[in-house]
Amino acid sequence: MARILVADDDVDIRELVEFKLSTLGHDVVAVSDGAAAIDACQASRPDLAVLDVMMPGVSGLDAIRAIRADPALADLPVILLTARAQESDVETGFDSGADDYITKPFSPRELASRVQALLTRVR
Amino acid sequence: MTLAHLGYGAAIVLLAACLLVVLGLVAVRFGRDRAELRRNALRAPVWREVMMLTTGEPDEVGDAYERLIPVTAAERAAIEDDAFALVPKLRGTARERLRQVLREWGVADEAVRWTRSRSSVRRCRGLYRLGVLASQQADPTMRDAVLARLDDRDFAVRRTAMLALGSFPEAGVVEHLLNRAAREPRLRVDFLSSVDRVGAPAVPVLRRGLTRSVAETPGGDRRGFLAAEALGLVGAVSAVPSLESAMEESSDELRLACIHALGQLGASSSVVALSGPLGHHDPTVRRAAAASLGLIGGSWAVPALTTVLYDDNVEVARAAANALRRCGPGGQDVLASSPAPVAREVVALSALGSMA
Repeated sequence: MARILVADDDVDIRELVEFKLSTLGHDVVAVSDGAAAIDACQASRPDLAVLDVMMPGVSGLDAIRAIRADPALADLPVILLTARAQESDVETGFDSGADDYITKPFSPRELASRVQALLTRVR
Repeated sequence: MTLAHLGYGAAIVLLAACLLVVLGLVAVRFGRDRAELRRNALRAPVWREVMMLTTGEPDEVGDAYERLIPVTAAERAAIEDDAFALVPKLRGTARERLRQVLREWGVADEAVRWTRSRSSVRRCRGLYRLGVLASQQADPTMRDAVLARLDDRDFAVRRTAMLALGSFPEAGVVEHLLNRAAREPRLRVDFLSSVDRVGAPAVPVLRRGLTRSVAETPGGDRRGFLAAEALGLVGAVSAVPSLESAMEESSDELRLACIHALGQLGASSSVVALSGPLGHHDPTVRRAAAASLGLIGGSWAVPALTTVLYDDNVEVARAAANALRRCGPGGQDVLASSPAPVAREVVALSALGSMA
């Protein structure tokens, strides 16, 4: 079981990811914007974060940069879950420090597999 | 009875009316809250099954499906809108399973009926729902109901129909989309969005549309322009010869669309065809050709782009310099050694960018 942070301003996506990861036994913290994601990371020290890119206020990319800039969170595995599917968007996502990139529309089971794989790799 | 008595009477009547209005508003609010509570109570267990259906493992999915099919009309109504909103956010089997449940509930027939409603809002809702439910094996009745609304009297309905048709991946649909968008320029963006979703099945129709447009109208017409734009967007590399040939005999507008499309498609064989417009009298065409050559990249484009580094129009020269930067080591060497002001500008900006 791991503690996972989910940040997405779309309530349906948040609910889907939260539901899927909870049924797998993970402890999920869900927030709706980038600033709350940074705060939640600093407060609850999750084992992994799933972030949307386009969120109100602080974007997912800015949130990753802030997370990477914090020495205590620098190694936190981050998955970007976003509707931005262009080649350049994926490139920018990885350049910002993401460990994995999933485009919307998405398959919840595929997301769960990638979460599991990333958790296994970092443990 | 004095004037004062009348005043008191009027004040009491007014007070009573205000009280009645306030009581009425409270009652409406109370009723709505109760209805919302009832809806939430109905929604929660059914929505949980929807979540299980879309995220669960195969055995859990089967159970959720069995439990969802016989839900009551009230339970269905409590989650139907949310379920429709969820479908486009899902991919693969999760999306198909949810569509299947919605079809089993008979919402497709209901949506077809809505497309014939007197209310344009309801017609739009019906069209949206048919677009969400459509798939490779969509019922022709659904497709025909949406196609019929391309000629609706209301623009919002025509636009919704155009967007919904992007979910029907059939060549016949693309023909209708192209014709409608050619007649109504403000549907251009919606046409492109729909054709992009149709993908490969659209290519033969678009190629034919482009060829016919140039053959039937001197310089090509709106159909040709839209077909060229869409071919670039869909990534139809097989359309490169048609685009190259259309570029030679077209109006400036169609020529620009072909140039952009060839750049998007990125076939190295297009370098020769795109070098020609670099000498065109219109700077917009020269600039577009330079940008497209940059999108194609590679050493083949370098000699042609080098010749426009000193173009009379600085925007053309700048586009050529930016394109050379994307042409690999060959282009970058030319830029580094060129004394052209735009070349020095691009090299300096690129260096600044890498420092940041």
